[in-house]
Amino acid sequence: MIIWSKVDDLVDASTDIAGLQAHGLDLYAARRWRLTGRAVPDDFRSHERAAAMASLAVPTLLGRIRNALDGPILLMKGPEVATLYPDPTLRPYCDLDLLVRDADKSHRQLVAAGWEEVSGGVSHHYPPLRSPDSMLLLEIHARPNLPRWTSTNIDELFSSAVSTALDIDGVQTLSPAHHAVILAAHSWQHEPFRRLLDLIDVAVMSEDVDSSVLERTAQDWGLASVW
Amino acid sequence: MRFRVPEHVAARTVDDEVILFDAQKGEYLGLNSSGAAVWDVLASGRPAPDAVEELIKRFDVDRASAEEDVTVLLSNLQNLDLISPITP
Repeated sequence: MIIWSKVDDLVDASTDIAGLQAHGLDLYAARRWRLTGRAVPDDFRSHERAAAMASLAVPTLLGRIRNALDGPILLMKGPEVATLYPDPTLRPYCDLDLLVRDADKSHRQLVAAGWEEVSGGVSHHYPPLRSPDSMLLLEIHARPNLPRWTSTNIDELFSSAVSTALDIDGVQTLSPAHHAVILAAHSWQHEPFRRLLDLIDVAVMSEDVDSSVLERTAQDWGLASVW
Repeated sequence: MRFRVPEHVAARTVDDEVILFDAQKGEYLGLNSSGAAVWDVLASGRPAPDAVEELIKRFDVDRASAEEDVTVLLSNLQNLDLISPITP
């Protein structure tokens, strides 16, 4: 995939440690710099360990979530996108974002199964949850966090869902077309494309999707200007 | 004797270290570079004496020290149920 050679060029040319961290590229840079004989900063190495630990725990956490919930579960963003990177530990994330049919019920079921609320809720999802033995947060969504003007059809997201690359029984993910547009819109919602990581995510998720399908999806959802 | 990694154990390599995750207990164990070298040999199904040779070759240690290191690590890994002997 051509994007990775471009990312290689970018991190090869960079000496801006804080900038790479801000753009979510420090994990990628750590591996690339090590391969090319450059020193890897301690902060990068610490983050590599944390990322490895997170990726190791994800299948177990998703299995436990699956057992605690009934109804369909769609994994969005972080760990799923990470499977499209050269190594899943190169894409940082600190939470699991799950789209469910009945977020209120799912939230209650997870609390009953031992997950603990971490802090107050924000507008687009229920209070994050944390399993006592995990560093990863869990966010339950009734709908993706998208700009208010969008017209996403939640039923369509579920009916088009596909198997997750993480191969967890009973857990699916968004179709690549839906996922790519949602990643773009989600980034826009937070702060338009504040990180290169967001652009890379969209690029890798779009890789095997016909551009006309992506454009039509964005247009149908009122996101043509974002796309 | 050869060993296998149980299904509930997953490993990731970070630089020259290995992080092990026990999915049943939700616990992690980090192995430094020499521990990672031993792990790589054992997890690939090669016998413990190969791990000794690997330590001698890569870390310039004498045979007695290498054998002791492998024995101690292997014992710890087995006690923690992070690796299991393959029974014929």
